[in-house]
Amino acid sequence: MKKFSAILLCACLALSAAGCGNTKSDSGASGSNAGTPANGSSIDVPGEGGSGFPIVTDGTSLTIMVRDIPAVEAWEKCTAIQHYEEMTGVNIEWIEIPYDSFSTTLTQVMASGDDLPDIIMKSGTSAVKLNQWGRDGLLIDIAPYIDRYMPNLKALMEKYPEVKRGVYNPDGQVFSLPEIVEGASYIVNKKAYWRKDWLEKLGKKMPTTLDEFEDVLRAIKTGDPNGNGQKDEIGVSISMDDLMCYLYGAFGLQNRGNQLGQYDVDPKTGDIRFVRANDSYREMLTYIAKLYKEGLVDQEVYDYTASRLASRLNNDQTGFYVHTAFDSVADENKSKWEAQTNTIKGAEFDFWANARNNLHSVGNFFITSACKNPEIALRWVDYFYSTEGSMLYHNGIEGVDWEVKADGSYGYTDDCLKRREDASSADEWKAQFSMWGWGMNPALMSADLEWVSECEELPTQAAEALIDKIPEVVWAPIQFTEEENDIISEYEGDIKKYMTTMSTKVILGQIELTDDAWNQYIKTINDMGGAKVLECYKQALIRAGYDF
Amino acid sequence: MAAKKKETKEKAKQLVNYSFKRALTRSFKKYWQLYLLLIPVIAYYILFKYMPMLGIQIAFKKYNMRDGIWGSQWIGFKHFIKFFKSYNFKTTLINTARISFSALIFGFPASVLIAILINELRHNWSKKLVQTLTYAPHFLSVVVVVGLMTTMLSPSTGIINQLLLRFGILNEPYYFTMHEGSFTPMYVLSGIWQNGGWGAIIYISALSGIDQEQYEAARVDGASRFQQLRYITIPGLVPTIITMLIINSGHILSVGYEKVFLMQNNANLMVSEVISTYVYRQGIESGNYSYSAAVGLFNSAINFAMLVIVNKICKSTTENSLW
Repeated sequence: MKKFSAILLCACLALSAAGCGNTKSDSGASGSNAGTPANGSSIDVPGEGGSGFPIVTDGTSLTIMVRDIPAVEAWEKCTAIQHYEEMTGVNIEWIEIPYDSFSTTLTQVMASGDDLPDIIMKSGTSAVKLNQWGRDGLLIDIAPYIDRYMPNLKALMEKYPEVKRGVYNPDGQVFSLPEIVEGASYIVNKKAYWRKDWLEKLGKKMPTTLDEFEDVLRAIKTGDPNGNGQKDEIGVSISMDDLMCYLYGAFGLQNRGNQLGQYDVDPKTGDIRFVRANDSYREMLTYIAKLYKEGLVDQEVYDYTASRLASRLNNDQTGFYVHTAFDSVADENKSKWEAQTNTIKGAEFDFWANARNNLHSVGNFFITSACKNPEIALRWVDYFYSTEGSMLYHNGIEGVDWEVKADGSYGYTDDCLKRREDASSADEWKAQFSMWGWGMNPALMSADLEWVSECEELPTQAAEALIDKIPEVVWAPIQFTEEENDIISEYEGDIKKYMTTMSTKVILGQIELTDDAWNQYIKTINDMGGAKVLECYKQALIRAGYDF
Repeated sequence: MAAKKKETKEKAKQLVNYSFKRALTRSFKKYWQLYLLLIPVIAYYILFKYMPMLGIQIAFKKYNMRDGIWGSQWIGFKHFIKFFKSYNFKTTLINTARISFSALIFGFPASVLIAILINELRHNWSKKLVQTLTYAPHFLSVVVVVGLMTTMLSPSTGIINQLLLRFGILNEPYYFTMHEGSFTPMYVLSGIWQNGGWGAIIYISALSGIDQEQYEAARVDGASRFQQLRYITIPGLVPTIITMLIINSGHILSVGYEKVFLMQNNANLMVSEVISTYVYRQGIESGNYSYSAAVGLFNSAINFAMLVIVNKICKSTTENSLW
């Protein structure tokens, strides 16, 4: 008996050890073979030229690995997806990866090389990584399919040449699909908002210069605008990044928009430079450090969390907010706020740096080498680059979730708005009938048609006023050659890290910005390979058609 | 004569071989259940410790996914040279060494001290209580510990700042998490709080192995409690201390990645970037697999060298060593 139990125990241990090794390949088999018939190019193409539905009639299925949004219960329960499955005849198996760990998981899945899903969606992966994977043969080059199977995307690329230049890499390959935006609310990405009643109470106007900005913050901090008798108001409670975005224009920084936010053009020499390594930035750091020292900026600004900001915005503790949308303020408080429609003037400069190109981002949809029917996948996604498809993607089904009103405008149906009241948050409500959730979509996004939070009253008001004040040229995301990729991935991360650390210390008052300290800072960036990185960006920008 | 000597030597060798083989077979026959139980352990080591070592070769290759680990092109020491030349080499190495040396210098004696203190307690129940209380934090996740620390050290709401202000030690709140200088002390002290009691267990068991008759004899001779500690307890602990010291020195450059990573922020990156977080950034975040493998291998090589050196020193200065 004793012997027997020893053998049993031993066998169990050995099995459990072996089990760990096996599980992976098991799931691999079930994952990638999920009913994808290998019928290659002989697919059923009802609408020749790549439009028209259904796409297939034989129940072809695709596996899509998608970045999950916390509010989404399950992707297959989304009504827009169910509707689209009926339309296309394509079965989608969703592999949902939690939002925060998505990029790590994706890197590991790609590194293992097997067990790849057909498609990766809502990923927001950088072009640098995608080109690396593409060159390693893990991704399918989409370029040859665009003419035949993607008429909608093709039309958009002809309309916006910068989109085309951002999507094609220098070797003429396309490894991922973009998000394309139209309309002021998206082109102006960050907007500023103030508490209207506080400004009135304090007798202050909307700030227009740096001095006025400081003055308003001081009044908020000391004037007790919330009237509770305590000085518990905080001037700046937003993140340091957002504060810098708000101020860049006044110092002439980010004068090519903030999509390539680390780089812009030196107005004196006309050459490329680091946004965070020039005299204007030094002035800005000094200015922010002064605000911080005086207590006008939250002393724990570097422990910023979105939830803490939201609670302060809704509990009368802060009256200044910068964001793309206006969604952290609760509905019942929204009327107390107004949008800033003017820029902040600096000594020399006066523009609104927070602008993006029509090419919002690349890397939102890509096809791995495991996919047997790339043309089906591409026809499936191309619809979202059309007006109707974009509506389905962002706002759900016509007649069920949205409708054309009597006056010709678009709006949600009463039934849909009723569901909003039952849902615990706007995100949860939207996730029930649209795929929009939290961006990074392979789709066209048009401000005229969609009513996501960026198109609410205040953000729209701010965007429409500021659209004339954005930089004339706004750089879109660009593509690099393999050598440039290598240089950038070798140096850029460390340089950015160094800049962030030094800026943080200056703002916290741990370093005084003497001439020596500043020269040392510039020298260190150069020693770390700054000039090489700048040269790569310059060459890539020249290839993308921008002048220097 | 010489030939005969050689013959006997040969014979003796054969005899030893033979008897060894026989002993092995006999032992197999007699204790086969025990050998069977050894199989999972061996399998574990082969599967999870030795097989992955084959992957180390990518440190010397230009790894790409298409060609895989075996097919990628050899490029020699290029990645190592790149690391030695890089701006990060000095800072990460110094940071790693500083953090792990401080953790060793302060954390190692702390465990011994806790063990001795617990041993000196008179009542059995209080011994058990204190021991449980000191090692309980070991079971907390690092995420929780770092979260606790951030909350307690917060300049506006943290209890520590409130106390320091109340007692007039500080005039204004101190932003602990945002100062380079407080990173290492925070790391070390929280480490002692979390793992000091756990590390003491091995010393407590060593202490219980000391012959009680020695204490009785000492008491009869009129030794005070302190003298008993000095001449019986501590010498009894020395072999364990040496062994633990050698083992710990093998980890000298492998600072735990999770805790440093969680404690990192914009202000302390210059002192908190260690080799393991650098490997993570390069490997997992940037996808430079070969380069991060090379950096990791360099780290392991140093650890191994440290282990050998410390073992040698211990062997020549004391009687104790690992081998």
